[in-house]
Amino acid sequence: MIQVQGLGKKFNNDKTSEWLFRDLTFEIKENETVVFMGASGTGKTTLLKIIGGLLNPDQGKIELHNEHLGMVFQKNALFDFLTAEENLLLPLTECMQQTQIDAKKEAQAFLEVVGLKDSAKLFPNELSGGMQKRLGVARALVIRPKILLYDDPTAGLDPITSKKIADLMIKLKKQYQSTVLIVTNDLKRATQLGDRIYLLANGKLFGGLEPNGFLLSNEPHIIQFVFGLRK
Amino acid sequence: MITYVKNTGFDFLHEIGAITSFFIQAMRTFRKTKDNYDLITTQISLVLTRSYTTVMIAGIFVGAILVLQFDLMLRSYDAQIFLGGLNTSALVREIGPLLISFLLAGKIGAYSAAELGTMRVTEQIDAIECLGTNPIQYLIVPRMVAIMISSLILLMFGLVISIFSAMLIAQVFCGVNFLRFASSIPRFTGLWTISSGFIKSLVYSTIVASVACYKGYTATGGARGVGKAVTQASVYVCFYIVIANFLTSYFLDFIYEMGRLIFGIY
Ligand SMILES: Nc1ncnc2c1ncn2[C@@H]1O[C@H](COP(=O)(O)OP(=O)(O)OP(=O)(O)O)[C@@H](O)[C@H]1O
Ligand SMILES: [Mg+2]
Repeated sequence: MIQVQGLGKKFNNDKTSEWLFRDLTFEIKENETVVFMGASGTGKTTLLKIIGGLLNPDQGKIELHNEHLGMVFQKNALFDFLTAEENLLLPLTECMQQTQIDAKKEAQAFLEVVGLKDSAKLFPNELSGGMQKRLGVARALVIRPKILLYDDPTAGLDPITSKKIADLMIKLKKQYQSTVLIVTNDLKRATQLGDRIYLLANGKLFGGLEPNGFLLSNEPHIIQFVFGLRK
Repeated sequence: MITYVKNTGFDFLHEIGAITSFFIQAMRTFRKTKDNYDLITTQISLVLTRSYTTVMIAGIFVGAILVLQFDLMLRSYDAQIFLGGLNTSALVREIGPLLISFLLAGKIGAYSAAELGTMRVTEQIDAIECLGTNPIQYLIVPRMVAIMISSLILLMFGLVISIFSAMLIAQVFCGVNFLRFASSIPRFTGLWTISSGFIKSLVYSTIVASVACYKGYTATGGARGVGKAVTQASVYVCFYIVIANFLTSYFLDFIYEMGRLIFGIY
């Protein structure tokens, strides 16, 4: 379970020291999949990074009942000095303390799952955008996290690859039983994947409803967002 | 103007403090595990393979230049018998450690800062942190320790090369043969001189390692940020080393004098 209370963040730039968002309070239950949507620059990535412990909030607190979490970064953040396979070996040996032999088997299995078996020896810059995304997903998953944070996993992908990744996310969730937070602006994927959907706008959260409720909501921000996307 | 000087001075102290605490933080996370030693040896071999040619070439020429300069001065006093001793002592005591650390700053320091800076701005360091691994332990400690240990190895290597090169030049251009050159070395280069050379080298390489890793690790703002980190790592560090040179020389001389007073060693 993830409990967020009165969360706020501001970046101390010289120009603006306004709150990016503040007083965010919500709760995510175990094994739930929650989607966060919002226009570009509203702070979705920032919110995810705070939950992942990579940024400190300026206000409020977060309670995670499970420390073990995996994150798929918006820009992948793959280890560019390691091959695809080694990208998966590193978390296994460093973080799970597995032996080289066990880790190798495990890494092979995960490469198979994300369909990168033939690219094991390639470096990230030799992979296509979609392959990099899939490798990013695999790297987050190898450590069997109980909480998974996806930052825009299908952005900039063609519909086929996008669907492949979404299917992968569903399959993996079934297999490993985890709590999943997804940031996306793809309404189709949001309704497909999410148990509940939030909208981040003007530094506040709206919605938090199941997909149909979200689409039919009469909250002005949500209407504007959904309509804007469909226009 | 006064506020400018005051602010720069303050920034300077602030930065020294930040770098020092970064170094302490890194050394605190040092683990005595096999994995860690493996990472360190890998880094050491990287540092050595990247810098041995430069050290070799610099060593040859510095030894040669120095011996010619000393010869010019000593010849007019008819004191060429001291050539080997003075030359070696200057190399071991000052020039070797200083030159090695400058070379390390330019080659390995800049490289590490660029590497770590790129990892920082492409969020690879965040990714490591997310995996529950301490990035300082995994990335910084091996690099720092490797730079420090390598500097000693490179110093030894560079000194041997430059002393031989000096001998050769002395023989060919100054008419001082190998034996005469070598016989005066022990008079000027005792155990203390050698240890103070290595202590200095360790101090400078600690500075190179800390500054380079700190600058890279804390880089922000994309390619420009990485560029800035690299420039600062390789330029500021030379400045810090010169200051450290003064302080360590002073301090070591002080210890030497104290030792002589108390134990009567010479
Ligand atoms: N390190 C930082 N320093 C200063 N400002 C930042 C920093 N990171 C993010 N911001 C600012 O915070 C705001 C939100 O950024 P964030 O990356 O969270 O947006 P986002 O909702 O993920 O957008 P997108 O959908 O485009 O990915 C932006 O205005 C950005 O300029
Ligand atoms: Mg984002």
